Amino acid sequence: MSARNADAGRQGLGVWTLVGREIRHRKPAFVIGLLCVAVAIATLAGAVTLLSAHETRTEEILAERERETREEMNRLENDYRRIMRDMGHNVMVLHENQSLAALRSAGHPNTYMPEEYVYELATGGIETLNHLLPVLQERITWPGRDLEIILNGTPGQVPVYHLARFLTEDGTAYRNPIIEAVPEGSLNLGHAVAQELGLQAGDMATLMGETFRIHRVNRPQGNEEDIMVWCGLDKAQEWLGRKGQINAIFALECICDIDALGQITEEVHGILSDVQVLEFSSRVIARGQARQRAEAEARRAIAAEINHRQEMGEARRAFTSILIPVVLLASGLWIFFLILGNVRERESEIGILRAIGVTESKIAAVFLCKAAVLGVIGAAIGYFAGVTVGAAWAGISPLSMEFVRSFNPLLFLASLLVAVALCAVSGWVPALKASHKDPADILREL
Amino acid sequence: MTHITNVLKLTGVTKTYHPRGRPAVAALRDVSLTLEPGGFKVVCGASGSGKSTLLLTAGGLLAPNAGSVHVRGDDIYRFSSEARARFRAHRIGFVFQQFHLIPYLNILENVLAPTLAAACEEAEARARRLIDAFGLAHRIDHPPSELSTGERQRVALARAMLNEPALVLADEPTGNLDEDGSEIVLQHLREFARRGGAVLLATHDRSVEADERLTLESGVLLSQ
Repeated sequence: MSARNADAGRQGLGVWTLVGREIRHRKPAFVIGLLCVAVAIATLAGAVTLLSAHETRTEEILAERERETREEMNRLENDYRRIMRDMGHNVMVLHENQSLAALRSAGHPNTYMPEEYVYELATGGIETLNHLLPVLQERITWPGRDLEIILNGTPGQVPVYHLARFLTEDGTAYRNPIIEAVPEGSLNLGHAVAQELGLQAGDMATLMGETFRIHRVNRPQGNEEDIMVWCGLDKAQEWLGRKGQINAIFALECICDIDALGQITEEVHGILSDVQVLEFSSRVIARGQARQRAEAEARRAIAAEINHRQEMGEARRAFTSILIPVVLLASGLWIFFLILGNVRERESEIGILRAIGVTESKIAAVFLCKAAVLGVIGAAIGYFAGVTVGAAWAGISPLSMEFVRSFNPLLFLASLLVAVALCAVSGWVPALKASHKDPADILREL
Repeated sequence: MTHITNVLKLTGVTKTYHPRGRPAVAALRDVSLTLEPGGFKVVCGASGSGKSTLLLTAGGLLAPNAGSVHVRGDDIYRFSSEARARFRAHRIGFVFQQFHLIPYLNILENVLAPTLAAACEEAEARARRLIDAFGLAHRIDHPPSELSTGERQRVALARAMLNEPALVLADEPTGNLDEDGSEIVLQHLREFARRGGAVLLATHDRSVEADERLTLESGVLLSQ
């Protein structure tokens, strides 16, 4: 028995055999039908793939922009922090009775407040200030050298304990202090003082009857700092007779909250009621604000990108929401007329099949089965073509894993269902028409 | 085959066509006819005399306006359309002048076509035996287009006999055949009748031999 005969089977001829033979016999018409279904499904699958790829790409682009912005902001923040630190303290906390005119004329504060104030600030949960530096400053003459200096006693920076990220692991000191404490038995000299006295780091000098080692000589600053001499706070308090007192707390405005001075004052006053706050480095503030503006601009750019891609996605969705029904309808009509044509072409066959006892429902089944075959094969071709074109349109390389991931089993299943439903609906009327044909009419007319 | 009195019995069958916009045409007028097992009857008549209408009505494909059609005792027009189709598949075979073979099926598949309606055991083996008996074994894989007209009619005849029907209705089966081809077809039909089947053959050829020859004139059946 030949393979072809074997298909006929022992029980006889089946509907599927009839459908298969007929498809082979009328290949061009079937191919046209396939093309029609494939175009409809390709449009559907392509549109879904394109929209999905667009959304994925949007997420990737936004994630990338977010990452870039975050890195840029981190970089700016680090730069800012470094700049701030390099520029030194930019806020000064003084006693409320301190005259600013006296401050300007003397070059240092002359109203005093308790040393504890700095510790109250440090432990009071302040958020807007950091790197607190209590000082006791007073203009004196270097005994025996007839040199006017500003004596500057400080214990070094007092840690703001809850800002742990700036502190050493044990929380007792800053990792990168703006000003280091003057080691015991040492002095730091302003540039002019060192020049006048002919001193340099490592030299020994006598002040107020005590001998000190010169720990560091600062670079020229062009301001009062050039005539300053730094020593421990306790020494200054002892020499100036200001035990337990300071006359200023220098601080660094916290970069996490660069804002109006009012906010700092308000927060400081929440802890210390009888002080005033001065901000004296507008360059730093300007830099901080520029950084904020840059961040805001970056955020706006991301939002604009999101908006643009959303609008593009909406436009594509709107287009496909019109295109898909139109293509499905056109394809449905095309399939309808193809199957109707097929019914007309096969009238003689329908007549003889009815004459030999094939029931109306089986005649309808023959046409519906053919429509189903058309749907399944057309869906498979259309799906692969649609996804490939959709992915290519979305700029996905056919050699990439992303391309492989574009083939979604659920979408394939949906394509199959849509195609079979399309063919079934389009083929239903012609199939009924075929099954209801009066065989007597056909046979008499032939 | 079960032995019964009448395989086919038409009683007072009338069929009138009502073509749209034209006068009614009476194709059959009070036709009565019986056909026993082994019977071979020929209905002669000119074109348009109602021969095809008679066979279609007898075969359950065209309901009469009046009268009844019994096949093996069953009033076939009392059945639903689907039940009548199934009945036809098992009891009635048709042969037409134009053969009406399915062009995309080969000979074996064409002969097996009735199994679409009623699958049966050993259908293929039976089809092969019939094809062999009709001298078409060498053509079994061929499509109808590669066969001569005589061969095509033999295929149609084999198809009509696949399900071992009680009745074969043949409408001008030799109309397109030469003398030799016609004789082969008629021999097979007579052989079928000899084996207990019943044949009602419509033809305009008055030389066809039969148990009984009837004439149809303007829808009226006349015995010769």
